[in-house]
Amino acid sequence: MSLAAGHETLASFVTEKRLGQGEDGDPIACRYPDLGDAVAVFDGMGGAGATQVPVDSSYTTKEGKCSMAYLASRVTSTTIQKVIGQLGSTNLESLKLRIEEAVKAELAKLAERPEGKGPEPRLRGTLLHDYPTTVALAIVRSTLHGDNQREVKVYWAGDSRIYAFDPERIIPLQVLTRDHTETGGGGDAPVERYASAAGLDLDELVYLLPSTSAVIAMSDGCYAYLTPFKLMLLLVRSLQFSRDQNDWVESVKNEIAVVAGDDTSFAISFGEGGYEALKRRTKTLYQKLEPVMFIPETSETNPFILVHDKNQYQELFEESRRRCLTKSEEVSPSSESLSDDTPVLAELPPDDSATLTVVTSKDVLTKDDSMGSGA
Amino acid sequence: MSQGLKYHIDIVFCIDVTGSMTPVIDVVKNKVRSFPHDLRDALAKKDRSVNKLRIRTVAFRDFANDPEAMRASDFFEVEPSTDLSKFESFINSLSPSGGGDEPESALEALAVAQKSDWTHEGDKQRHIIVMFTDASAHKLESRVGEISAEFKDQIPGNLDELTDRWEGNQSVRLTKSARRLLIFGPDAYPWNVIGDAWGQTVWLPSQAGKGLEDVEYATILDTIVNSI
Repeated sequence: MSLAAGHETLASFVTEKRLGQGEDGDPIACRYPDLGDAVAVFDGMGGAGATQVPVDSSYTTKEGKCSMAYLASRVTSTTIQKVIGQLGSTNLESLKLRIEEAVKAELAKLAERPEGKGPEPRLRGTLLHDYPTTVALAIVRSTLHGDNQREVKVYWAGDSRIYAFDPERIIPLQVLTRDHTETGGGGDAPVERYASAAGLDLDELVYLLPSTSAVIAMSDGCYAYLTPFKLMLLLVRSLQFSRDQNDWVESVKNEIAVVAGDDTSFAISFGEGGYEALKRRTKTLYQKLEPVMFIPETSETNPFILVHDKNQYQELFEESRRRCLTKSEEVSPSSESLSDDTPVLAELPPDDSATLTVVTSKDVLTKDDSMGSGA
Repeated sequence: MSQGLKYHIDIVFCIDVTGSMTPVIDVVKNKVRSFPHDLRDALAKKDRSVNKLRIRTVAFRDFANDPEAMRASDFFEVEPSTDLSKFESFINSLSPSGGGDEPESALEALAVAQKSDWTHEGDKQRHIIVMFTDASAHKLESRVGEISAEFKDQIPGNLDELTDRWEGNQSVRLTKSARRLLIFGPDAYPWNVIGDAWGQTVWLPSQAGKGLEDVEYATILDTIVNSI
């Protein structure tokens, strides 16, 4: 785990599922004085980039051979850090093109080395690519208007993601990118866009977020093994129980690594007030989440996903709250009942009252509560 | 507790069983008993576990001049099953013979493989076709030989239709996210077209007419594992 430059507002970690073979590159969590915060992750594509090639001592102390994916993510991370560092004060307009050109050049150099494309006879085919890796990068900076907002420019190729994390929003954890797969997010579809020796075509969006919103980059090792609710719960709960920033980041790293079947990488720009402010702002959300965190998400009566039967929800809510005190197993639904008129989200009762306020899908995102707009 | 990734994997081996293919058929026969375990162990090293593994075999020669031009088995469940006897029996019955000239009826075999009853069970599936041949293939449009009634309805009239199936039309149970095609074959038609054009494909160009003698079991296993 690194504290990163400007450490009071940035942090990152990377884990290897198998020591010495991790294919996630070093994440970026860095403040550039003239530019803003940069957070980024890089996930080498192990299937498409499985071909064994000579290592490059510029990027790793490993000896012998490694996969193309292993090198690709590391080289891309180093290259993008250099490009951003050389960019200058406000010249974000050229950032996308500079990154694309530099990454292509560096990955192509790897392929041009002796045995850089692997040993003979050489495997071919559309499933394989030379030095493939995902890229997800966010540049976060205050707007010039003094309106307590931050501009977030996201650049990505693949299924690594950028999230906005704001505990006081109706949807606290939101994805700002769309996976470059056929489905656009989740599932098992192959990644259709990525960096490789053949080139890089970054997707790009810009958002305006409250200055207190955290921005997080995550590889799929972080999010793919948890439901969106459980990922949010993990971040919120660990914040509440952490002593300081280091402790929180270590806790997130360890909790995700326990369930992930993959390497993980994570980089966060905390937002105004840093870790302390984020912890303070998640307190109310945690108080709402805690009583229901044992209700299984596969249950039709999960209050955060679907509410079909108000009485059944209340029964589960009470049981979950009792079990929360003993930290025991998930509550099982007593029956399955489905309704066509399905609310999307339920606000939890703030006290012991049996009254539910159910928010339907049309209320979920109002104009005032929207996280921002894509550019 | 680590969740890992759990797979339901179907593999269809399309094997050219003409006379020159003795080297690779010997490899297949020698490794038939250990292959399911080797695959499971290799995937475990990548933190992937196999919930179910089924294997089917389509053995082919040349419809133009071989009376026994094609045989196809059902899917044999080899994991978690411990009874490999039916699978072994079919593999051991393969006897390289005939051929002697190119091309062979590999595209017909590929068509039959596409039409397999692919699994849709479980969280993640893989539909893998592995083609072993040391020869080029007849064009489907040429309609060489007499295709037996067992297979006639499964074979399209041209490569475009075969390609459409691969890209996911509804006539097959293949799914785009699950499909993989691994070709061990020479740099000749149709492999030099399919290998570079069909999605989710890996191609190891090999020497024509040499029975894939330069392809080792470890390479076959690694290629299958890395495609998953």
